[in-house]
Amino acid sequence: MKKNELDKDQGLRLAVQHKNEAAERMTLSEDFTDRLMQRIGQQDEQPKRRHYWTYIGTAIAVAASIALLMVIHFDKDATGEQPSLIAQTDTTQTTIKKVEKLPVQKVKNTEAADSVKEMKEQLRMPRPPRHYMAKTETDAITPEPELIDETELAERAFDEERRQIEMEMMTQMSGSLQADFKGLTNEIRSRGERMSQQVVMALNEDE
Amino acid sequence: MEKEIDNTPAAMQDDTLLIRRILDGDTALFRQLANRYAGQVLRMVARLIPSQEEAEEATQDTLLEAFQSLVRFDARQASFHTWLMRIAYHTALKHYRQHQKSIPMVEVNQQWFNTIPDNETDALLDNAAPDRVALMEKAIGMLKSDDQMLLSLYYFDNRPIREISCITEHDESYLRSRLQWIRKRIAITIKTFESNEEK
Repeated sequence: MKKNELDKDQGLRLAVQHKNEAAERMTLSEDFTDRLMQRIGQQDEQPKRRHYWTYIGTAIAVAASIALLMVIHFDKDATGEQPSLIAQTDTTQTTIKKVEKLPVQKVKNTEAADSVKEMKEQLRMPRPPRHYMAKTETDAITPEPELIDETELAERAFDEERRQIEMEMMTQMSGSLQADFKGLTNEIRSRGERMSQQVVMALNEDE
Repeated sequence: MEKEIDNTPAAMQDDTLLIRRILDGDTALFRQLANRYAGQVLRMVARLIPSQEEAEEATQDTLLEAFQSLVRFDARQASFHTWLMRIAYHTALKHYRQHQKSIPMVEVNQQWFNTIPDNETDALLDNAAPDRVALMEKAIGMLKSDDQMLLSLYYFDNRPIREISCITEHDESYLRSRLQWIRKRIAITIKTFESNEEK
C-alpha cells in the first residue's frame, strides 16, 4: 500500500475498525487446542484406514481382471486347438466360411470334412441333432446393427453365457461322440455285411 | 490489527521446521502451530461469524483443514500464516453462506454509479465525522460477505494487495477494481441514506 493511500478514506477505515471491534475482542476457550488435537487424533486414523482398504480393493480388482483375461485367452485357445466334432461334421457353407478365417486350422478342417464325407457316403448318416448345430449356425449370421434396450441386453448376456456353457459341454462331449460314431459305424457295417450275406444266400437259394 | 503476527524469517523458518516434523509423523507438534495461530484465525472468521460458539467451530474447521492439507503447503509461495489465513477466509465465507441471514437491502440508484464523480466519493469516504462513520458502517453491513472481508483485509489489516490476492485467490487487478467498486457502492449507499432522510 502506498503512503498516500494510508491517509485516504479515513472515515471508511474507522467504520471498518468499528465493525471489527467485536471480532477483535473474541478469545478462544481454554480447552480449544485439546478439542482440536482430539479431532485431529480421530481424523488422523481414518485416512490411513481408507488408504489401506483402497489398496486392497485395487489389488482385488487387478487380480480379477487378470483372471478374467486368462480365462478368455485359454477359452479361445481351447476352442481353436480342438475344433468340436460338430464343426468337423458340419459341411455347410457357414462352417467352411468360419474355418477359412483360420488358415492353420483350414487343413485340419478340410481333412476332417473329407473324412466326414466318406463316413456320410458309407453310412448315409443323418445330420446330427438340431441343437448341436445351433452354435455354428448362429455364429455364421452376422448381426445387424440395431438399438438395444436393457431387456435385449440381458437376453444377449444370457445367450452368451448359455453359448459358453454349450461350448464347454460340446468340447467335453466331442470325445464320447467320436466313440459313439465309431460304434455306430461298426454296427452299420456289420449289418450291411449281414445283409449282403443274406442277399448272396437268397441268390444261391434261387439258383 | 495483526500486530501479533511474527513474520520474521526466523519465525517462518521455525514454522517450516515444525511442519516438516509434523509431516514426518510427529503430529502432536501441530499443537504448537495451533497455539500460535488459532487466535488470529478466530479473529479473521469472527468478522463474518459474530457468534462465539460458531466462530470457534469455524476456527477448528480451519485448523483441521490446515492439518489435513499440510502436505500441500509450499513455503516458497506464501508464509504459513498467509496460507492459513487463506483457509480461514474460505472457511468463514462457506460458514457464513451456510448460516446466512437476510441482509438488509437498500434500493441504490444504479444511475449514480456513472454520475458520481471520483472526487466526491473520496470526500465522502474520507469524512471521519461520527454520524458519517455510522452510516458507512451500516453501508458495509449491506455488502456481500466477500466484499466485507476484502475491506477488512485492506483497511483493517493493512495487508498489501499481493497478500490479499494470495488469501482470496483473486487477481491483483481484479481486487483493485473491486475495491474501487466497493468504495463507490458505499458512497452511493450513503447518498441514498441521506436523500431518504431528507424526504
